[in-house]
Amino acid sequence: MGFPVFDENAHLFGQGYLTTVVLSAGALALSLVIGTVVASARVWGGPIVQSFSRAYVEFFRNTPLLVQLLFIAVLLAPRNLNVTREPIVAALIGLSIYTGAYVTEVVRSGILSVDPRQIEAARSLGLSQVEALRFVVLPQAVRTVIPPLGNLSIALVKNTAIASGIAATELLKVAGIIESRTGLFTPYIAVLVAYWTLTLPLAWVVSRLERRLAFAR
Amino acid sequence: MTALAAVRRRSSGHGALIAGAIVVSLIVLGFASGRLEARKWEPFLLPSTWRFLGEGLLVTLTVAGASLLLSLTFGLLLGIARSHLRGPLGWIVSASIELSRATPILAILLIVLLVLLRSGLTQNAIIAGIVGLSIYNSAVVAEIVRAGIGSIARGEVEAARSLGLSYAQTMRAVVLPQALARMTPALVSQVITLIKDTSLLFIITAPELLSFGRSFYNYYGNLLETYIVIACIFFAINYPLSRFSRRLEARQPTDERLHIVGEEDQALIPAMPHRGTSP
Amino acid sequence: MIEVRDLHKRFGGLEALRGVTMHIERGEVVVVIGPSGSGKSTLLRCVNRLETPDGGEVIVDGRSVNDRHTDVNALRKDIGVVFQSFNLFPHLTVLRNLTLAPMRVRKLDRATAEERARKLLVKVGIPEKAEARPTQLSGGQQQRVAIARALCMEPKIMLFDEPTSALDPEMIKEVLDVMKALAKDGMTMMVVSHEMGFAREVADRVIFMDQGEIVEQARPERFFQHPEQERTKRFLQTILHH
Repeated sequence: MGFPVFDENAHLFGQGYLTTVVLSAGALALSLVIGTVVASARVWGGPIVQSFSRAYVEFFRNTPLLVQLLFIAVLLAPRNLNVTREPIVAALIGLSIYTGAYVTEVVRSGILSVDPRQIEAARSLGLSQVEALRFVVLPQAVRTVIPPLGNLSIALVKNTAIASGIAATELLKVAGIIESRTGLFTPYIAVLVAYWTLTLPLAWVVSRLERRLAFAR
Repeated sequence: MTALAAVRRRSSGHGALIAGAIVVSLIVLGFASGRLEARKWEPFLLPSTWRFLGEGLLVTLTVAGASLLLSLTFGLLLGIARSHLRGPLGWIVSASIELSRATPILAILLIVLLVLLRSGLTQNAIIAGIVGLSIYNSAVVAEIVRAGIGSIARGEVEAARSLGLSYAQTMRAVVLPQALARMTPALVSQVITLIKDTSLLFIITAPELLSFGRSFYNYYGNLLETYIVIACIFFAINYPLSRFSRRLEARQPTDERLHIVGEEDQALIPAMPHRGTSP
Repeated sequence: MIEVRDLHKRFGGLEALRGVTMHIERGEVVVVIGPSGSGKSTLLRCVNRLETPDGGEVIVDGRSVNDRHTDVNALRKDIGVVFQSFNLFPHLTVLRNLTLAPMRVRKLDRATAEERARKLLVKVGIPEKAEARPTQLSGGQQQRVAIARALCMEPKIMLFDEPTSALDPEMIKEVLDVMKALAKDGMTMMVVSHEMGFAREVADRVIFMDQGEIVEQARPERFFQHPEQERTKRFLQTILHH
């Protein structure tokens, strides 16, 4: 009787793993969009736009992700319920908004790291403002932004685990389900290894990038 | 130059505007979703509410404080060990630090709770929480300590040794005082992460602020309002801390900033502000 | 070629330009000198609209610089600028620094742009650095690349904003030599500089500015031998006798 149970659990585990990967990748993509937009607003917007984008960053980075996720889970819930039926969607939104606050700060400091006289020089050559940003500012900003963004991706992968708090069936939740079914401790060992297959390679890449860009300066 | 200066000037000292923007956003969001009602805010006018939530906050702060003390102690020891131990022992220390930091803290909390429960050591979820938070944060502190020690020029150590100072004396008198100064911004950033992470004790059923909040909203039926208030309490604690850490960073020369991989609050320590010299 | 009429510019409470009128003929080399804060750099920056004046008019090659209908990018194609701080693009090789604008703005194909760029690198004396990064060059070499980068757009006018002020003394000459050669070729040049030797030798006219005004202008021999204004005399004394 052991084998079908094992198969079923392995299948469940695989799905959890996939959910974690998709959740991380999706939230990363969305947070990059959010972060780039809000950072641009923060650098080039008027005073009101600036205080709203600053408020966004400060509020979401200084409050616990779990509270944000719980809040969104309720917001997305149908009227008569207190919890959403789509916890993964809520998790995706919550993780994106939370990580987006950090991406905003990273992108902003990337933009500010480029000497404004670079824009002047480019404009003097006849490049338009957009061309100057695209060919001169952005390529330079990307260099300073890549290592901290890598850093954020690692944190993001780890933060997907918090989505289990709103019953999204990602890795950690799945491990809990299997553990309560079987009484075995092994799912938790497996879950550790599963996270390591994501975070350790990322950490390796980031530290290599940091070293390489540090020498390139 | 002038544009940049303008950006810098405008973005500083707008605390009131920021607070206003947050409040406006939350209220608009709440009413737009049709889920916030003025009546549900009324319980927050009662002193008993704040006494109750204050109890939860006290637990949260105690957990954070205890975990911080433990993490600093073990992190310092582990960090020094990692910097200097060679051979299999050093390898084991390094591996456990790296693996802990590569693991979601919630997974560590759940596993610690389970181990404590099954071994019959304790059923106290708060203790499990403190242990779990301390394991993870010791690893992060160890990494910060190692980066701090590693940032001190080798020449200084050699100079101290050739003056006749012993290894321990060199560490205590020359390396650690400087390293500690460089570590402070990273450590304060980690305190912010730690305080946010205490909320995860809610999931392992320890009675911290969020759990108190749940009893509260179960009674009054004001779920969203309670979450907003709890978020604001965390904000009130963490925002001053994050301003403090930013001020520390700004005071620090760029080449003395430490970079710790894999923590979101650490990713915000700027590596290299714009290098041009403006007149 | 350049026509400036009654130009005014203020930064907050500071009046950087108060009613500057001057002109530069085609092929003329004009050196603008003056103490720091005299408004000479601001004047230069107004010529290609890096600064927007508060009053007055700038006309370059028949086009009003601050007219709303003037395409500022088209205007800037014809005006090369060399900055005190070089402002090379650090993420691009020397060659790409030179070809970026010709390819994007003048729409040259890569081969033509590179050919032109290499010729100019020969002209400024560093053909071997085409593939180097700006950060690998000395200050003097960087400034020569910056001149070549501006020339690559085949401008009608070249503006130099204190091109040697950020250089170590031993590198100043190599940059000035390139500028002299350019003047000899008949380029229209406006140079803000403290290099009196260059002014004496190369300039057709020297303009002395102080406190946002043009105090005096004359041919160099006359300017340096027989300055008319008291302020000019005092400035020349402080700068020549130390």
